[in-house]
Amino acid sequence: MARLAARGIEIDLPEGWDARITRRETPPVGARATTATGTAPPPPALVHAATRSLPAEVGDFGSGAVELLRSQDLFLSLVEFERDSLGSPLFAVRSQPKRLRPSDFDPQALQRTLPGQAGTQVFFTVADRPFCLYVVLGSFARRSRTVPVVNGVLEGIRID
Amino acid sequence: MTALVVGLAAVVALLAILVVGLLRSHAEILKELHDLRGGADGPTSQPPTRVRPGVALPRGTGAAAQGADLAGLTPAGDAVQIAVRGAEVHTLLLFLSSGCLTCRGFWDALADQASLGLGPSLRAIAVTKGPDQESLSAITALAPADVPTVLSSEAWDDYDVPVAPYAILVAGGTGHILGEGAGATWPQVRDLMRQALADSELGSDADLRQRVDALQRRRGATGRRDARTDYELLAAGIGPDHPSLRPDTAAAEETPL
Repeated sequence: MARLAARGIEIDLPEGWDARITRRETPPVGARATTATGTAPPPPALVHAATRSLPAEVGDFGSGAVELLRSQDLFLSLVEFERDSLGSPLFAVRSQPKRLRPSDFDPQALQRTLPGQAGTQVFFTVADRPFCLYVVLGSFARRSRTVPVVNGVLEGIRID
Repeated sequence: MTALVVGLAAVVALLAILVVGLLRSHAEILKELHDLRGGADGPTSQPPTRVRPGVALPRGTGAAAQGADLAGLTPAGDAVQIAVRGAEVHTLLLFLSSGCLTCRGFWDALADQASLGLGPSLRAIAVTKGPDQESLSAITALAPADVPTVLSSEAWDDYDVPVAPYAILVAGGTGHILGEGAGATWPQVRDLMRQALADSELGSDADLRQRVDALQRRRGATGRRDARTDYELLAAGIGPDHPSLRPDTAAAEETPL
């Protein structure tokens, strides 16, 4: 079990996972907001983790990586949004998801539909930071076996 | 009479001092001999390995035979974990530093991935010590664009790296360490690793390995070169009784008397 920490996010990862904690290059919406002191907030963070080797270039929501997933593989993306998204209904949930259910996953919930795969998205706010958790399963049929593995990783994520 | 007793006592005292000195000298000699044998108990301990100045010592016999996942920072300050055990491809870990002159050639080679000469089944990763022991700005300037660079002192500890530059080849899937070593130039290290990879692929044939082991036992061959030659000959279908190995006999059989 290795611990990665950067940009206010800590994650404990089991052996065999590839992962990165980086910053988002392109904020999705709006201009950069400023804090009460007039300084720009740190750039939004981006976490990618997978049970396969991550390519050098991976889109925020896994393009470039999800296409490589085998049936037993998992991909997880934790995408931080700009601070000006705070307070919007989309990010109203004020707790970090720690436990997903197999029924949360749907083949139609993928950013790009791929045969056999399934995904889920959860929007939430923690520490005044708006996030989207996006998880892709390599196989919808194996979800009862792979979702507990995802939950094990989610338990090990801490956001400051 | 008193003078005689005093004299004898003085002589005894001198002899006692002499004996203690001799015993102490003997003990120091024994200790030096013990250290020369590597400090281990028993007569089978190996003498310490000695190498020429500038040549890396091999990793200790207790060094891990299995690869470990890499976890550290990228030159951009991002956190990263790269799975090495269980990876789909073999991983060549190049332990480099920003300060060593020999490493500069390796950084230059890594900058041009097309000319690295690694096949599709092999990926290279540069590993430096963490920011507490390395210059982050220097590593940022040296880090190649297409080869991942990880700053991780833990990786140096995990792999028990003796010196930079140092290369370790880890098998994809099993995570076994297939080969390791130091070299002055990238082509030297690349060739070393290619050989280690070729050896491991030959060794994957259990039947072939058994036959070579049997041959070695029969012939008493012990050298690595002999074993490699045997593997290659047997892989080509040339065994100990192959007629091409005894051309004179074959010719004699064909020539009528």
